[in-house]
Amino acid sequence: MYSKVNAICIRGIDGILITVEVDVSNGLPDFSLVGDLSSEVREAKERVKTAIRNTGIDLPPKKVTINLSPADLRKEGTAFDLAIAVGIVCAYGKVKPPDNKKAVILGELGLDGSVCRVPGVLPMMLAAKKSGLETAIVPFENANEAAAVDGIKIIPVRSFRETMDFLTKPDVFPAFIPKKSIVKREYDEDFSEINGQQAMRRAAEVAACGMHNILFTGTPGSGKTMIARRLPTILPDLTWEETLEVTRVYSVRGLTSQDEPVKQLRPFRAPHHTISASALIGGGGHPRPGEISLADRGVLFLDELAEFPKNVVDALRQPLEDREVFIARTGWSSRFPANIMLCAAMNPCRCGFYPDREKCSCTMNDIKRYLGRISGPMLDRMDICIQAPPVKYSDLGRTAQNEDSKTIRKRVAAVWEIQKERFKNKNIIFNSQMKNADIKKYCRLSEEDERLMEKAFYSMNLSARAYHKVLRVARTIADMSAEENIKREHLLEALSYRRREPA
Amino acid sequence: MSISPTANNKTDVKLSSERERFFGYMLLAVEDITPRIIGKLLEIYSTPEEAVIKAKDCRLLSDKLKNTFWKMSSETAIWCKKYDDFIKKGVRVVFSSDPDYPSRLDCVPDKPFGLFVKGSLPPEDRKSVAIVGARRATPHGKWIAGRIAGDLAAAGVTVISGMAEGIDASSHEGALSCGGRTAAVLGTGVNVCFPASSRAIYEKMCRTGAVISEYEPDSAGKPYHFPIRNRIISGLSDAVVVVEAKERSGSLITVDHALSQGKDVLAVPGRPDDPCSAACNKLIKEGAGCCTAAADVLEFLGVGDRKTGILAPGADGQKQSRPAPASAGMNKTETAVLSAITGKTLNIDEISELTGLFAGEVLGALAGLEISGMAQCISDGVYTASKS
Repeated sequence: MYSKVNAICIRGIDGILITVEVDVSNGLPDFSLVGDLSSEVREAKERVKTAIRNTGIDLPPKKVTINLSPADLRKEGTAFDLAIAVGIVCAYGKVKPPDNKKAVILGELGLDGSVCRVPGVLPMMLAAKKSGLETAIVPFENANEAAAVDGIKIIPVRSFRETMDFLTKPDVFPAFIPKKSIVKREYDEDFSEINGQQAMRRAAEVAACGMHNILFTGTPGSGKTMIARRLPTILPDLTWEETLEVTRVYSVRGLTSQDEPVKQLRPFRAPHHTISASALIGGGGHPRPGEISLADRGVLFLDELAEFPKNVVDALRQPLEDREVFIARTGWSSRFPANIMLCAAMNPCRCGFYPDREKCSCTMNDIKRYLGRISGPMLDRMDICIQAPPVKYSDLGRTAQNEDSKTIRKRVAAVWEIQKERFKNKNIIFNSQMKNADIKKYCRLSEEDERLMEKAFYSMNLSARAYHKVLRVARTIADMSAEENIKREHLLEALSYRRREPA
Repeated sequence: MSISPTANNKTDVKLSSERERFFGYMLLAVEDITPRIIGKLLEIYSTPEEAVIKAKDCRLLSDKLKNTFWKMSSETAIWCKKYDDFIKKGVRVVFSSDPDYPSRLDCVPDKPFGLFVKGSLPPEDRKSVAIVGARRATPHGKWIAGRIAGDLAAAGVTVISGMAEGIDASSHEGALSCGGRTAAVLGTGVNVCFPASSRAIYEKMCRTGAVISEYEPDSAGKPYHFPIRNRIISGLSDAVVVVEAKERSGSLITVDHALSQGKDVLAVPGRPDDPCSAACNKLIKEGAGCCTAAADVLEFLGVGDRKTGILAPGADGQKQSRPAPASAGMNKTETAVLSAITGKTLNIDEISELTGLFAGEVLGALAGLEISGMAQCISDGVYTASKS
């Protein structure tokens, strides 16, 4: 007998509908699995056979042929186990097969017949919805995540036995009520925990308002990392579309959980400086998203920027410009989102104490060499550079009322609204993404300010790129005070965030 | 440094012909030779030529030196070519017997037998001041050194230093930026730019000032050459100003030389507990002049007379006679920030605390002041007012 069941495989961060065909016929007993399979899919053979037997279903020896179609598409992952098992049992005629125009089956099988969670359920559900499917049998642990997609009936199963029960008596199975966003998650950290560091606080807020890339320089222990960690807390909440976009990446990487089926908080990723370029950008034979895509719609934080290998940091340049990662392989290419705010922190020199000559004994050459480790083009992409002064003792123990993240977030959200309105007919959302033509249009200066910029251009030794950067940041600062036009004070503040060479 | 002044009076042998000058050059080019040994050789042998040829057998010399002389005397052709080469390229040798040999060096007990000069020697009729200090100086120290050097140079004083990084380089830079005269005394040959980071000022000084060395023009220099050349730095100057020297600083060698040569020593004071200026403060305690501006140095030199066209002490350059930058065009925040940073070096948080302004306002005001030249960012995030 023959049966046909739907499954979904993951390519990049997209799901692709797969049909599992099972044929059981007379002949020499055999069990073969075909259809361009990777080794973990081929091993499904053993898991499935054992799981069916341990569930108590007896299958007489027959010639069993299983094909995963389309047969020219490389299949990876363990999410086909359950579909294969169901297909076999149906082909033997033990149960009535589910309607393959409506249902899809996902899940990994244990030898005891238990159904284990699989990565990538959210993109799979999105693909299922796109293909017009209505019901999905998913592992119990993935149920909440799967339920994030509206319009699909979720059947969570814990074991193969439960799957059989559903297939025999679909009507008595209770409808699944997702725990969708019952628990509103909060950030563990808050801006109110930061005493002092007024300049850094301000710079962080400006950066958040325009999603400008920001670079903190300062002595060790001056709070660079502390502020960076709190950057996501002042970004407005994720919209539902953004949530799905972010969760897709996390889902594929297997980083979602029953407790947090969808990402509610802006991501914050802080990879260690020993990271490889492909781990940061994404890659592999069958491309998987990297840290930059995990930080999508949030903050990618590179602590100790100078310690990162040059090729790794330089690999960020193109994704930062395009706001997505494009990885091409023969026969397949993947696009991963990379709408990030880049935040980096570094010491001013190797020992970290320059310009405090009481502690720093680096020669100017040492310092230049240290800064030289970061490529100029990368530094050019940092819109805001701010120096962290050493923390004062009096600030340490202070318990004064500092502004909390929620208050700042409200202000940032207002600035985001202004930008949304401004760029509603464009494919950009933030001031930091303005191209030169946009800058001409939205960053008009008064005649007096033009003269000021000209003076600054020469006296501060600005490059053309730095000039445009200043204007973008000035636009954000003007938006922060809800000004239609950029004024002198906005321009001046933006100028103060430019990078300086060590004296 | 206890060498009897008579030891090198023989160095005043007139070297008039080009041939004699060449052999004089060869004496200078001998590795590890000292002015004292040259003096002795010229006492024994009447001319440099004789000295170069015969010194390989001189019993007074060490075996190593004898060997060197032996080797050099057999390679005169090579040395001759070298000599012609650098003369063509504009390097001069000034022997102690030459009329343009700096007379200031007479007070140096072991004054060099000859100097290699690129550019022109500091004029004899103008005052010259050495500014020395730490190589690993703070941005503030470098800024102060540059300012004093600039003001001195603007007053017509030649600024002398050693072209090392830090205070030395900043002093040269300060003087050059005011279009003044400055000279560097190197521990390497004059054709070698060390450290490489001083390339820009080296090139400028070769054109507008002087680069001076007692070592062979292509010599890469040895570590012990640098303290030895300090005696020439102080020797060429009328006063020595020390900016930022730690407890055991090499600048103190220059100070010792200056004192034994009878030159004035001034130091720029630092905070009492600042190790970067520990030696400066100690020098002041021990009686060195206290220098907070170029005017103090000018006063020490006694060049306060307006008739000579040189600035009076206290009147800090033409810059002060210029009308003070009017607060016109400055807004309230800028005025407040300027008054907070006048005479102080503060970071943004400190300014914001003092003025009660928000960090954003402070940043903006500082950028404005910076553009109009009234404030200066002396290092990352630390600002001060430009005029004191």
